[in-house]
Amino acid sequence: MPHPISSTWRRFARRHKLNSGLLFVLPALAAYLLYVAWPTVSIFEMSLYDWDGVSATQSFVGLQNYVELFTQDRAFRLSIRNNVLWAIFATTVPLVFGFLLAYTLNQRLRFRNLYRTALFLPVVVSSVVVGFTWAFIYNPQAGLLSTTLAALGLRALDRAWLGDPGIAIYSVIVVALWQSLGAWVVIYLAALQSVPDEIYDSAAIDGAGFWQKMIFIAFPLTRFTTAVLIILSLISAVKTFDLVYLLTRGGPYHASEVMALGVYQQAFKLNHHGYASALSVVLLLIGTAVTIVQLRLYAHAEESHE
Amino acid sequence: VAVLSPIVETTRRGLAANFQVRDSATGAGRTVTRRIFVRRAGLLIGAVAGLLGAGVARTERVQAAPGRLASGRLTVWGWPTGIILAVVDESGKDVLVETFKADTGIELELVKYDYKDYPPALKTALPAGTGPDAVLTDWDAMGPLWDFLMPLDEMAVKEWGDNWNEQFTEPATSEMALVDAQNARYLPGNMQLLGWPLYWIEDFQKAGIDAASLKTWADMEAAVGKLKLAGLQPFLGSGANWQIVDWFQSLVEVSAPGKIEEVQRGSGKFTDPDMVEAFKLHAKVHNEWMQSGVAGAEAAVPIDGFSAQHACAMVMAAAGTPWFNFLGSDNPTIREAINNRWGTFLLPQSKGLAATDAGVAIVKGTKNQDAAWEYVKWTTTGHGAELIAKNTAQPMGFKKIQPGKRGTPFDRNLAEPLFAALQHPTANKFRRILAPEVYQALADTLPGVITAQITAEEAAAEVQEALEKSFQGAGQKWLRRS
Repeated sequence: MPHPISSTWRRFARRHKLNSGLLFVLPALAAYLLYVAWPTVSIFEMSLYDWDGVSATQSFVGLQNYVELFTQDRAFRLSIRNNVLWAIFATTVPLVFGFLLAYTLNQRLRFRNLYRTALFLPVVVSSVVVGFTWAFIYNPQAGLLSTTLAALGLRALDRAWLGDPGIAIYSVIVVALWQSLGAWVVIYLAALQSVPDEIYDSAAIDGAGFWQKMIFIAFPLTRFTTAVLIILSLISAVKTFDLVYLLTRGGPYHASEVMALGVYQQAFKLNHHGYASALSVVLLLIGTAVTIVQLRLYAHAEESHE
Repeated sequence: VAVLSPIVETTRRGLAANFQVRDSATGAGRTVTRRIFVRRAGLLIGAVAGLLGAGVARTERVQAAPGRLASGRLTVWGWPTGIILAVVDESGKDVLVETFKADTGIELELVKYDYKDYPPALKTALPAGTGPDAVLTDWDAMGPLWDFLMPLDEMAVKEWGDNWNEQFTEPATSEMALVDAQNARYLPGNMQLLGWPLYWIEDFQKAGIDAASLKTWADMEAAVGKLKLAGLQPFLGSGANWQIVDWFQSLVEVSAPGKIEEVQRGSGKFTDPDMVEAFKLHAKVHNEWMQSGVAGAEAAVPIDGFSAQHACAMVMAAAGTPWFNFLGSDNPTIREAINNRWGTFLLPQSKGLAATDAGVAIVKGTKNQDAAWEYVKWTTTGHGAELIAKNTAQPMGFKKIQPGKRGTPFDRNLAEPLFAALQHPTANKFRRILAPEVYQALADTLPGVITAQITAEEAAAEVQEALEKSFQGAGQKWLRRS
């Protein structure tokens, strides 16, 4: 006689089309729930409290942290603006220049590998090293940029590159672009090398030149790569932290603040863990929105690629 | 979405009732029935849950009793400041750790964080019980973490008797009492003074300035004017938070002496006109007296620039005794300058600002409590303190320890005026920013005033708001309304 539980399970499984496969994934699912889902839910919960991160007492404040975030927090508003600026520049500039450079380097050039290596070098350098190096370059007294401008007689163009609130965020974005451009070039190069030469040859017979082949053949045929690069770049822009932390700490007076830095400052500098959690939730929602766009673009790009 | 989708998809595809497995050794296949699978999967899930449960239980146990296991090595965390930075022998080798071992038989590990990384490191480690045995303390770094430090009174009484704290200087003991009036949470290490610019003696001579004659703020402005006329940049500054805030604290002593205490006790406000004046002075000093672009950039401590470039006549932020470590600098230019060519003076109209640079504390629950106490005593009152004072010429909080003489102009130019100020009976008490929220608000808003993004009044209001919040904060026991 079959065990009653087994019979119940069989009936349940049959009715719901379940089988042992589900149980195979349960360990992984358990780990996922414990280490990813549960902390995520906890962040939502913690965002409803006022807590310094170490004390035993937590005060329930409801949505007050969110209200404060959206109505009173100037740093948050600036960080949204800066993240958007970051996303715009971090996608458009490498898209244009990365593709152009990759297309150029895909031609038969002397020292082509040297150029490729030089372009890719910043990608493999640690962000900390990049940050310290550029802090020196931007130093208004003895920095490479200011002294070079002075040597060229262009002292009028000199600025407090990291201390001027009007340009601080752009100065940091320039560093990020310098660091990431090589990756775009290399990925584009790989994509361009998959474009058959016959297509270029046919176009050449029809009279197409360098620019026409680039715009009407190479670019459309690498659109899947472009979509992926844009998506990765957008995600990176949402969570950017390291270079801002190293170069300006979000200053002066939040002029270069970004959201991830705000979370860090609130949690670890100001001991506002509840508020930092609310900020994290907003960051998470934005990240999720970008991810959904990413998945749809992937699907669209895949379809068009096929 | 990215993680769950493949899991659900795998489940959906794996709907076959039973499945075959093949023995890799024999190649024989056999069927795993659902019943067998359920039993084995149940065991696996149980084991995983057990391990996770054990992990959680372990975590809770560690939280209940923070601290390292006794390992024969005492770990101390701090930042590169006077008390742990170095004690060098004649060959220039740092002998602090090995001297401690020779004196006590205890292996010592000093972990030096960059100051900006120190508060997050403490905050991550102390509540989780993964911190060191002992830590250096600073008001800007501790906040609610004071509660993770062991009360030291009982051990101190046993060591020195009931009136043990009278053996420390008054600025030091008054600060200790602010943390916990009933039971000390740290012992004061080295002491520092704010509001004392260092200057190149030859630059002042070139510009015709006598530092001793600077009595009023107008004198100071006139001196700065003379330096500019002589083609010299008056001050070298930095946008680092601690330098920005140290300057502010020093300037409050000019515009509203003693008012930082009143404000933090609730009997005054940052928005009071004399406090707002300090914001204005701060912006003026940074915009008109320092190099361009000083605010905002996370520039390094300007000691290298000050000593090597000789482009600026004065430097101040956190000048004073902690910088005496540079007497033993590897850089011969710095060493020569601090020994022979720099002088110091108190900002006109200020009474100065004496404070503990670094306290030394034991982390609650450490398994190495006795060894940690040995270190605390050794480095604040014992042989270690003597070595530090002798080697780096820094004054210590412990009265019996006297800073060493160098036999160079440094003794007359720097050490004597600063040490005399530290002993002065009216030297400040409680004139520092105590709450991290207020400290950070100042670090944020002051560059805003410098770069004209906000007015001094707006900045003062923002800082006052941060103070009001810190009054309500759970960990800010030391801020009391009168």
